[in-house]
Amino acid sequence: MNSPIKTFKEVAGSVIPIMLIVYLINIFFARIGMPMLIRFTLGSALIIIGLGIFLWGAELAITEIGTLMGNLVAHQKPVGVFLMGFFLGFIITVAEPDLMILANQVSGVLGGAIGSLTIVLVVSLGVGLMVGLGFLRILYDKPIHLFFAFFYIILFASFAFVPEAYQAIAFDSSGATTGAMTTPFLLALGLGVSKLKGSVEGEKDSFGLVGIVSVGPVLAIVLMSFFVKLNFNAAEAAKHTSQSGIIKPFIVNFLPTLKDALIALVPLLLMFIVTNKIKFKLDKRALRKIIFGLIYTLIGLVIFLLGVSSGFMDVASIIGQQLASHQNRLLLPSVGFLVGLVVVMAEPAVYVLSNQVEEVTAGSIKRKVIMVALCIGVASAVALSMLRIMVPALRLWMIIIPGFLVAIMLSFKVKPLFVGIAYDSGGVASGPMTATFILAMAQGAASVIPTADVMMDGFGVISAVAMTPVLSIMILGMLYELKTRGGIKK
Amino acid sequence: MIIKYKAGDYIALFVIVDRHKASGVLEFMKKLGVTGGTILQGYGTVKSGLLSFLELNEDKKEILMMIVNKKLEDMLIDKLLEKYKLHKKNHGIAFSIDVYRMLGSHIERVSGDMDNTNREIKYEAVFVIVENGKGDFVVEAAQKAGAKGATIVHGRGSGIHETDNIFGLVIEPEKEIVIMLIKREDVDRVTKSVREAIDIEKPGQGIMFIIDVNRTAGILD
Repeated sequence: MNSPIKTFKEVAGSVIPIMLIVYLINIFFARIGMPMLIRFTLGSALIIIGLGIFLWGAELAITEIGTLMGNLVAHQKPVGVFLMGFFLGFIITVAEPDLMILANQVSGVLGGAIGSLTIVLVVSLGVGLMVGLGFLRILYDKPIHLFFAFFYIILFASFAFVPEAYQAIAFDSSGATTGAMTTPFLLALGLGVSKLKGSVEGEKDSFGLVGIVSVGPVLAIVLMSFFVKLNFNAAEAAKHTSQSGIIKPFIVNFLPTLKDALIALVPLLLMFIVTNKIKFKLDKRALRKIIFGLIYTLIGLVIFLLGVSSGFMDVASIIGQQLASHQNRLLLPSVGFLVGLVVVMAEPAVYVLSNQVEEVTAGSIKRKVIMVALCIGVASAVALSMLRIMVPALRLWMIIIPGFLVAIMLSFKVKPLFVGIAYDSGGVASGPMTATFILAMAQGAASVIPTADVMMDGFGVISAVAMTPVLSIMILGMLYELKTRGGIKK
Repeated sequence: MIIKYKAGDYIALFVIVDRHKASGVLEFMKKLGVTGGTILQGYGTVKSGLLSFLELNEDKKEILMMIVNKKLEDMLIDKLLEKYKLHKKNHGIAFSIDVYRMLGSHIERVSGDMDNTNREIKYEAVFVIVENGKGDFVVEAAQKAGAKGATIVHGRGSGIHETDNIFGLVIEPEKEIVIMLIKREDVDRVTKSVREAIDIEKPGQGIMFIIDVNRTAGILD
């Protein structure tokens, strides 16, 4: 057996549980309908194929380019380090397809008062700033937990002056920026910059950059809210409308998906070609690997996103509606828990992160352990969010703020390596699968429950999914600390 | 208690298996009397025309290293063969090397040299340490000259010919360590091919060393 088959086996193993859960829901609680189920099955097959191909590509190309760029950054003077970080962060975020989608939604809700391009640019500036600062942090070896504690406390303090809808958008855009494309690249960048510092130091520094990037958009949107005061009209919220037919959605969505994937990849490709000409001067063989990797990334991304957008959203939306209107009130949160448990396993960025954790620690922190912590975290986030949709008194900040405060406190106790991994997983867990399946389910549920607001409740889900992994990985780090200390004492 | 040993009383046993399997092998070995082991992560190369054309020929591996008493050598390798079915294709390989000296808190060497009589060496382990990214060239050149497979481990280090530093921190460039098991009669041909491919005589290009192997398991001819 060789590696391509192994990748597919692993990916299938993480998508099949989602399929099983949906089939079971169909049998016991909700009637989804045959055409929709067939479409969902087709979509799942595309997700398995696409994710498999994407993962080969990410390993061959995206990670490689990130590491090369990181090495290059590490050789600059401090000002250059900051500027290159800013530039790289900016260019990769402008290209992220998830962010473009979100910006369009937000712009629509605001009645076009702020153009979607403005939002993309504001968020990308925030990310650029944070990547630059993140690089400087690695360079000057400032403690990572203080860095995060500082930024999150400032953010929450400023929330007292920011309208609630703005808060939700701020956290949501943070989830959208760390997607399938940016995560492998940022992880590799961190690795490239930190590798040059030697073993023990390098290990703990290679994580945390994705987490730092997640702070950027929140900061940028909060700042923007001070300058641009607007009235939100929640009624105009972009409601998800179901498409009909089995094959048609796949065909209709193909070109837009291809365009999104190309927009994400072309800037990276151009940047690589230019830097390769000037600096890297890779030999033919290494170049061939990267080119093949980029081709796989593109093909994989298109197939994966197509499966997600055509096969998943509608099913999730129907499940949300049906469960919310069921007599048993506990059904929605409990199914939400189950769905959260399995959906995170199919996030591409989660794979890349957990593999890198294993690689960097030479296997001493196993992939499975990280996965389990992430699953528990995301599952409780989804369950809580479903409760929040049902109970009007339960507000978003009541979940997010205490969660982050506990995480910040724990970050003073656990190893810096775990602090980095924890904040990174927050960004990583909220990828395309969450943004479609879980968000669509929440919006479906909200549309049926009279007291719920489609727009605000939808946004809240992503924020919660981005918070709980930070907490659960931090707790894992704490357990790890206790165990290893006990081991040494013996 | 101080363990006394003579040169050749102990062996280094290497087991190379797929990712996520080495921990299980180590547990199994501990039950059979092995006191400990160290696991490295590396890559193996699959020899397939189509897969290497598609650049999909890298396979993730783990390398388990153990120092064990020579008396256990045959038993351990036999048990490994049986439990992990190393005689089947792509199930992993194992090989053992004599240890001349070892150091540690409870270990003391008594005089006497190794007894090299009655040894029949069929395979040799070739280690090549090169700049990051050049491992593929080494494997390619070796395979042209008859090598079957290879395992690549990432590492870092620097020779006196390559010094570099930023902000006062010494940079140790990334390296790749290629480990190959080669039939004794092929060793000269393979090493010649590798030497020519990477110009190893030039300073800073890399080093290569070769060790006799006692027993092997899992190599298919």
